[in-house]
Amino acid sequence: VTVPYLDGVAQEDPAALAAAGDALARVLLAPP
Amino acid sequence: VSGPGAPLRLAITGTDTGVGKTLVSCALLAALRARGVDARAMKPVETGITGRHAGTDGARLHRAAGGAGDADDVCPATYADPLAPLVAAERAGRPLDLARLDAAVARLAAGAEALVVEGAGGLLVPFADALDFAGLAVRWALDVVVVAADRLGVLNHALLTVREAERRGLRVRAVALHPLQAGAADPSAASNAAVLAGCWAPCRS
Repeated sequence: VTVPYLDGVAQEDPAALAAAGDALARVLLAPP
Repeated sequence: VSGPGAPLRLAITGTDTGVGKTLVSCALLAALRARGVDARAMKPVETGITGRHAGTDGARLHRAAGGAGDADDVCPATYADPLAPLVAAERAGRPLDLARLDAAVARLAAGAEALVVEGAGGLLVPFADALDFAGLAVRWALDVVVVAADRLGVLNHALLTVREAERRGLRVRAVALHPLQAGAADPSAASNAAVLAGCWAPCRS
């Protein structure tokens, strides 16, 4: 899973963080 | 974690220090919470900080988790020296209180659908005598997410970490590749994810 680069401002933006982590969350929430 | 609906219990480790563990942990927490998952964070030990402030990893994780849990549980142990937890604790003359960490992780995990525990440095970084981060992950029954810098060399670094985690009996759920800067500065980034995915399963044998 690739997590995109976020600059310092985006790192404090919950929506930007959530978008960046979405692919990883989907992998982890998928049934094993 | 064994089946749909089971709570996520994750150890976030890195192939090195400074590869983006905290950012990936915060992004994961935010994504889980955006999906309505009650996700909580923990940084068992943070070194290189004096006092609690908004810029610490623990504080960033706590914010990404929507402030869930008590701050003292999210980051129960801090040390001033920017060293591995075992070394920082020895220099401070204040050994790590494992019972306190165990109690904190239990309180955070209670009722939570996801718990994201960020390590310090890599998987084999010592936290206490005969206890590294892999040992903490085993102790707390955590699955592993490996964070690695998306650059040349990552295939070796990531696979070494995955294989050692699996040798210790841990289940690796994902490898998260993270660029350390904007843009595609490293030409290997175009292929790292695909090559790693292809290498992972065959390398288990």
